[in-house]
Amino acid sequence: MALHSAVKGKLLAVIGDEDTCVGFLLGGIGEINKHRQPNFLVVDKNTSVSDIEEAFRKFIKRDDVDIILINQNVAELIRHCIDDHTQPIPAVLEIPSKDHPYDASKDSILRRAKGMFNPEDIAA
Amino acid sequence: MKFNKDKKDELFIERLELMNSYITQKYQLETLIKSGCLHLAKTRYVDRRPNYISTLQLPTSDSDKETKALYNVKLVEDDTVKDSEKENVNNSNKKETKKSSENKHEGSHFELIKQEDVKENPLRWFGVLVSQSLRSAQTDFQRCISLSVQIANVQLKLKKLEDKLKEER
Repeated sequence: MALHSAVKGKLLAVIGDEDTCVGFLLGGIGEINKHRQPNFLVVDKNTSVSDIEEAFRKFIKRDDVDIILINQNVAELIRHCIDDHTQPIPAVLEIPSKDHPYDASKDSILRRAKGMFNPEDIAA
Repeated sequence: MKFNKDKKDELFIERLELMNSYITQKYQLETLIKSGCLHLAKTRYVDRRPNYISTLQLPTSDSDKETKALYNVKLVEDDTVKDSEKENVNNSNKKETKKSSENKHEGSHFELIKQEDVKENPLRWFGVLVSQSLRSAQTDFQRCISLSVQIANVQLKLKKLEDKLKEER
């Protein structure tokens, strides 16, 4: 449940298809800051992988963003960037979309966590 | 810092539980997103305008009007963890408890906050008299936002556990 406050917090950014972005912005996370930078990127068939990569890197560098929501199918396109990001903040959340159901085996967080279950850990 | 076997087992079980709750919440999120998208589609159908709910209505960087987010997140330090960290500092030597910059967010969690000073409802981007299905879509996506923050908190806890186990190696 959300707390009511006048204190300014950090933003949630979103990278995803049209319906995901429209939905989350309708929910109330959309912002355009004083430098005219939006906190969302709508990915359609004309959006190149380099554009997505650039937007993702920008969101990571921005100090007013704490959580980045990204559609899992879009995250697949820039998997190397997501795997490189190991800092806890901003937290990168892979979210499902209406056309692409959630696949736990592709989630970078779970793959990282599963990687810890190797015989060396359990022994000793 | 070396853990004994029981402590290690505890950490592994905790991590499995966190992974389970992470996956469960992701599937809940999927259901909510699908429901929200269905309501958006219904709004388009009722209004008989395919472009009625699209990126055309979203604010752009070219518009003069400033857009502020209705929901923000705040990183809150966990008091209980702070106490246990203090104990650790007292009990073990300084070398062991020296924290890297990566671990500075240990024991903190996100909290969703609604901005009181933001009066503009995003529903107004789509007109004054909007359909009930668009309101339902908004409710669904607001629940998605709340759930996303919960998932981010589980993710932080998982990261913290991973770091603990790495330290132990």
